[in-house]
Amino acid sequence: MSVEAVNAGTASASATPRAKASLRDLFDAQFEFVWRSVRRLGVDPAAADDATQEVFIVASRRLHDIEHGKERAFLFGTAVKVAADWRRGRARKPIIADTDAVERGSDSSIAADELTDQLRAREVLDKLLDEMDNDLRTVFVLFELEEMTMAEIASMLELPAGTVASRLRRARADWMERVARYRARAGTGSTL
Amino acid sequence: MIEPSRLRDSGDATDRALLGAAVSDAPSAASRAEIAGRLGISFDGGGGPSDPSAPSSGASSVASGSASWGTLLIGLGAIGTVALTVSVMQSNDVVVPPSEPPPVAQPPLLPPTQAQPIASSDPPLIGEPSISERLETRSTQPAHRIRTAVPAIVTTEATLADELAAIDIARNLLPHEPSAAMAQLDAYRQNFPRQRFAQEATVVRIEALIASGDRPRAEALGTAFLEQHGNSPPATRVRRLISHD
Repeated sequence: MSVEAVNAGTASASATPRAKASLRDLFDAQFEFVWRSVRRLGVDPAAADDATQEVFIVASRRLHDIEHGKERAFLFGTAVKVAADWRRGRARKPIIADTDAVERGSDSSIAADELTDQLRAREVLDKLLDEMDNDLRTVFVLFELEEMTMAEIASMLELPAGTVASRLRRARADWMERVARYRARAGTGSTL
Repeated sequence: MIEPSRLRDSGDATDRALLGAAVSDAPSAASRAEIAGRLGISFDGGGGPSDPSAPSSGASSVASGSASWGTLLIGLGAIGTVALTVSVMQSNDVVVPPSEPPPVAQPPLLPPTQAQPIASSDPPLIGEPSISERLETRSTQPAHRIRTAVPAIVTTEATLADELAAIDIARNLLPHEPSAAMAQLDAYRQNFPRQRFAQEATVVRIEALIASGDRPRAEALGTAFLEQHGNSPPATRVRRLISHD
């Protein structure tokens, strides 16, 4: 069998029912986690759906490699790669504002000015995370936003526990410094 | 390992406001249905977490709550969306790339001019009153959809897909031509210096070495892999491949 023949077969192959069922289970369990991960890893709100889809496309082709209990680690690792690609592409494209945020994360009982505050807070959060070193940001996001334990983070990222603790400590110091700088720039006393 | 308290609980008002804002940044039920449709898998509207590897975190409960709220409040408009998505899934079982979305119906759109004041992206102005305290006390449950137009998006470069395809070629060569599979992996290493799927490539190489009868090298490579990536997703597979059981 030639490489070309194999390549052609791969390109046209469709998933088996069993593979589709596995992908569906994975999607049902991890969709929100993947979506949040690509967002917090720097993917623009308007591109988060596509980036999430790309993560699951990769997963669909790697299903046989994903060990039971390592699903989240695999998806997060893929999300890191997809987000890194996206950030590189963004450098060449204009940033798209989060015009779709209202439909995603708002309560109908929240007034417009309150919602605007939420969106602004989210923009500031995105900006501060964007400025962080990628390694620090990853640990910070998993601990502070995904509420994973340090042991879980160490397992997921294949890092020694001490490295996770050290990165988290540095990430928090970095975060506090950036927030303080942001406050100073915004000219307010203690908050946004 | 001593776990520090989280800034969302122990930080100041700004920390809580900023980090709390992330909680409300969740995907819509329509996004979920649309992506499921594009992937060619049926959509489970319940969205309950069932991942064995998922940590028992607040984030997962927030996420499942988000899906429920979104589903509830999108209402009848979403039923049409889901129904159409299902029909798309039935007719299109092949995973399609992000650049080729199926024609999924959307709820009625509000003209951008109606949504703009709410979805303002202007940065906070200097001297504006604090929003931290107000944000802290608000509900962050997702709810009513006000759909606005989203520009066409091009996300990632094609290289991820290219890399995957290269590894798939090697994997498909494995059963009949393990030496060709290894040649393909060499080509992968040469053509994609960044090797973002290096772990997967190593697993295929170990399988190719075993298939070609070179078990000592397979075991050496597998052992080296496990020393470096003993906790990685493919580690169990590698252990199984090089075990003598």
